[in-house]
Amino acid sequence: MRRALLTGSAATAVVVGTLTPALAQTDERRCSPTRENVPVCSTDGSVATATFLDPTVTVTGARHVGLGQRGYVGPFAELHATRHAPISVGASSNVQDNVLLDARGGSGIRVGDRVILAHGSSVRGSASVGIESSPLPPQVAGTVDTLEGSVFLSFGSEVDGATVEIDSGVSALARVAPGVTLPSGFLVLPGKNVTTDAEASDPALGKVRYLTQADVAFNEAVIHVNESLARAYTELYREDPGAVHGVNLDPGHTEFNPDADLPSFAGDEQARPDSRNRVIGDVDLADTYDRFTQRTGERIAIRADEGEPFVVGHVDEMDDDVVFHALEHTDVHVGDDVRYGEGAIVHGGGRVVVEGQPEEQTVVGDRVRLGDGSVVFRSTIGDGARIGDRSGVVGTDLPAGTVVPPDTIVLNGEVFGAVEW
Amino acid sequence: MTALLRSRGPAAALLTLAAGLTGCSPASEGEMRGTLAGPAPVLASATLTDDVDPAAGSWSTTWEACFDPSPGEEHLERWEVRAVTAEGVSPRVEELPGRCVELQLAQGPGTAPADDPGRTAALADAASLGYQARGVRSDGSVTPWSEPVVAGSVG
Repeated sequence: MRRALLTGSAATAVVVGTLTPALAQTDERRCSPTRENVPVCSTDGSVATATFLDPTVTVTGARHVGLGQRGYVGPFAELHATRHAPISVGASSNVQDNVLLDARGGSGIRVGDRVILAHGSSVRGSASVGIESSPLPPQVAGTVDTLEGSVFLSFGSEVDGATVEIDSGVSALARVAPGVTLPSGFLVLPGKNVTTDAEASDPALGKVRYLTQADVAFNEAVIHVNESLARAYTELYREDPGAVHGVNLDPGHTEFNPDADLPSFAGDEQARPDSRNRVIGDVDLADTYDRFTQRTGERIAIRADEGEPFVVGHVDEMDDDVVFHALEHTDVHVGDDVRYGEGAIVHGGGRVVVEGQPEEQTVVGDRVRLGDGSVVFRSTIGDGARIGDRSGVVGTDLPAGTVVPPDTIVLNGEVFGAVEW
Repeated sequence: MTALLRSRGPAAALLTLAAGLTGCSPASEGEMRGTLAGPAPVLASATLTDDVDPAAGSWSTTWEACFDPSPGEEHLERWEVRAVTAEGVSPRVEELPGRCVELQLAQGPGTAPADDPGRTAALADAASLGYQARGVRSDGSVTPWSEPVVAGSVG
């Protein structure tokens, strides 16, 4: 287990090491998530500008953490700062489910404005993401409008003591190693471990690709979605503080999901604010709540806050830190007797090929085994298939019984390469 | 304002995507105009094109998706789009200069895009992004949104 057990019934996010009164503001636009500033930071801030931290977020050294406006910090994220290793996160950035920002042992972590830290990603040591910039490579400068600048760290990626500049990104299960600078205009390919500056800036070396206009457009949309979530969860908390805990409502109130829904267990809609896990919105679980609780670990985030039903069959076993995210237009169906390894990520996302044809949903069949740290995204996993530890399956129809070895990236039905770290 | 551009340059030229949209607004503003009942626009075509520039030693992959109005809606004044991502639907509504979305999905060095793993990865990433389109009538009312079309899809 990566982290210690938390109990999620506290009235606010878990804040450790802040027994002294808060020094809430490092500047007028930064908020420290001290006890009085969670889950809404700052607690008396405008809905339009407040940052929302899910109550399950763990913050240590909160006085040394500064959060910009309009941010969203998702369930079970962790931010660990010290006096000598502060953390700052800029405006309109989001820290999604089970993300780890751990500055301890380094000189601090700086995350700039408009940075997306996707599910299960981590930033460690002395690191900066989206702060520095360098001139775009000519091929990118001539073809891409980077707008206001952004960075995307994808599922399960890691920035370890490294610098990731504005207008760059790190794909799923990829890493930027200590001391390396990923310059503006480049994205690390899935599973790659970039260990030198040369690898970080030369696509011919096979570790990175150029930024594209589609990357920028995607980031813009994700940033706007998460700004909406920050606002919607803030409103939900202010209407009903108990509603942002445990098994509970999605916030609704967003353009893409106007209605608030409760999860259902064995057909029975219910709120369980004392649950140690977060199950949010229109999730339809086959298990009773008691059986689900018996079969599942800690820090599990099943977040259907964007509207569509999310169907989960009987769980065989679900280890700690599992993340599900269901999406409008792209619901997720998971079969019976599935075993979910620690930190597994199941993420919806349609694969519409042509309008008028059925959308290929993310489907995980019966008796599937998802390894520790594995990622399933926009894919169909056939009955009985096994995904190895820290493997990623993206945009793929995986036949029944398929075995994906550990540390393997599968993109669009083909083996793309290894997870190199 | 994001950058979706209808017009294309010379075949070998790289796509310029700097100033395609003429405006954007939160969806709530758009919705305030009211959505009339009726059929939504439909996808007319979607293409994926690799352009190779031997002189520059580079290539680029461009996706274009064009929408048609439904019968009886042929006199739409303009078109709007919104992005649909793997994280949700963007609240921003953007104006299209025409009825087509055109977007650079991949680019890289060399002259053999099919052999470049960067293209494979970029197209896989782009599939996390889609668009919905709607028409705006002369009275300011809007059609329903089309079904989302995933970036990189063809047909």
